[in-house]
Amino acid sequence: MGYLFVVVFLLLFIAGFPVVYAILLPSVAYVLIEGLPFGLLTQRITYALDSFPLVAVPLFIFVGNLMNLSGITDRIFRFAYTLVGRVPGGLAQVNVFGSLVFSGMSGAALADIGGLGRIEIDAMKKRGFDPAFAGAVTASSATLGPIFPPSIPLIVYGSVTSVSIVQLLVAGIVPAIICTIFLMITVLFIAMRHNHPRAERWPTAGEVGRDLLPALPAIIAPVLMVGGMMAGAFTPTEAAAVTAVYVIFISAVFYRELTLEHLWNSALLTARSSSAILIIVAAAALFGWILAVEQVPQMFAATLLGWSTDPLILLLIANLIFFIAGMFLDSTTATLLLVPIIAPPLVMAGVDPVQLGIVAIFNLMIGLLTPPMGLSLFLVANIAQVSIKSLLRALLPFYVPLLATLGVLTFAKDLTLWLPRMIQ
Amino acid sequence: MRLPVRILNIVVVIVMAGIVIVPMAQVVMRGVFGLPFIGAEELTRFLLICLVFCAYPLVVEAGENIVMGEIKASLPRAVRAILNVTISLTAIAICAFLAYVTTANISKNLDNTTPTLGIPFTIFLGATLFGFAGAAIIHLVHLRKPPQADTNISV
Repeated sequence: MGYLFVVVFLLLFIAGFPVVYAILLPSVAYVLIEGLPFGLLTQRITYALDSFPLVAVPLFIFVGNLMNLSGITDRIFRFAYTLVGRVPGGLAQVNVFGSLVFSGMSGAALADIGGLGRIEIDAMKKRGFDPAFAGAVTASSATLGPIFPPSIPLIVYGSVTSVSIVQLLVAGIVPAIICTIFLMITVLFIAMRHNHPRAERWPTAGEVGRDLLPALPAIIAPVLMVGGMMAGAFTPTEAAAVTAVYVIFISAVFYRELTLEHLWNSALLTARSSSAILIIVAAAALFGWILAVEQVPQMFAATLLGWSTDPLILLLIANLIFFIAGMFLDSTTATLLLVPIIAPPLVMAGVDPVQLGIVAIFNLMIGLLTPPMGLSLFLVANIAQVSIKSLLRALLPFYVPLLATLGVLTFAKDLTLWLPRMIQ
Repeated sequence: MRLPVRILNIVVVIVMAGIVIVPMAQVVMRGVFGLPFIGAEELTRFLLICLVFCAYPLVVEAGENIVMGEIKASLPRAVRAILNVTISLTAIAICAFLAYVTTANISKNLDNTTPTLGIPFTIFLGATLFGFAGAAIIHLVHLRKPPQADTNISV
């Protein structure tokens, strides 16, 4: 019955049912068939959202929306251009570096693509870059968003596994920097081979200072947030609220570009985006409960641990599962449905849940770049006005740094865990 | 539909403002004045529930449910039309059923309240009822022309 239940969900999902109904239909049918009390349906769904850590999700979406609507994104882009525009690859390097800075305030890959990515792709096209290449750099660098704190997928992972969200967020810092370096090296090689345009000269200290100043409040935000969390001054949710107020403040007072209309539109957009994500979280709680009743996680754990009890082998298997899942499912759905099944046996075998979280989310982010259902691919192709085929061709070299980062995360766990260990 | 949507927009923006203000106020009250206000966390969690369910009819209205529509989009037009109507009918049935179940749940727990702030169960689960009932109505209005895009939507 448990497996049939999962198969029905997958069939509905593939048929194009909204994810929430693809989850709810078999769940409601299960409750009816098994004769369970109906009250259980609404209680499971509503109480899944009765979670303080999940409040950070709308708050970080709000921050991303505010940044895109109030001109902060432009300042980040300008600063990144001044700083790394001369490095071979020019605007492509700016694209990668800018994404790292942007991800310090926004926690979603698609917010990066829709905001900063749009500016970057337009600028690169104007400078004569191949639109497909511009799209490929944007899509690959957007994977940084959900790894570098804040991160919406890591918050969802933390709420599912009860792992410390502070530790998860802090654990993402080093992998994001490693990934940035790998991506910039890749861009450098491609740029040297194709002789891509770049800034005519290195910036002077005065120019760096001039463009740093407007971007500084945006750059300081993640430092304040992570510092506050590590010092125990506030929880991740409170950090998200503080960041939101901080972004409103700097947009209104420092940049003077925040209008009431921006604020209204950001809040409205955030409410709808949050509802679309969190209604799935609510439905998945019911789904997860039914899977638990059917002992699916236990069966899966027994099978997995029957193959091996070596943490590294299990982590490699988890890599494969999350990578394939990421090709078909969006990150929230995949996290909510797979993590409760996969995490327990791995943790039992000795895999660190924080490392697993980073590995899982990074796999799912790479999944956003892989067909058949890579959401980043579709969004970037739409913005850059290129075909999926040409975008995929341009993306091929970028899978190397992404997979190399994944390799580092899998095999060198100390790199991921040394920062979180400091706050244990 | 315009007036209800406009009113709902105002409601969700107010709730969103509350989600920003309450934790921020808690940080200030605790950190600056050493006076944390009891129940802030419960209130924030309640506001999150309100936000998700009150905004859900707006999500349905805008066709913004997360969906992987690649395969559906590649199907012949007639098959796609049948599938769209099936999806709408399923959505109406599920939302209406959950709204009914929530109503029954509320009516059985009229005296219950939340632990710290004492928010009545009618209000606590009221958001869930509103969300599913509103979504069912909008799906019904859109039945002949499902709003859900065939292309992928995510956040």
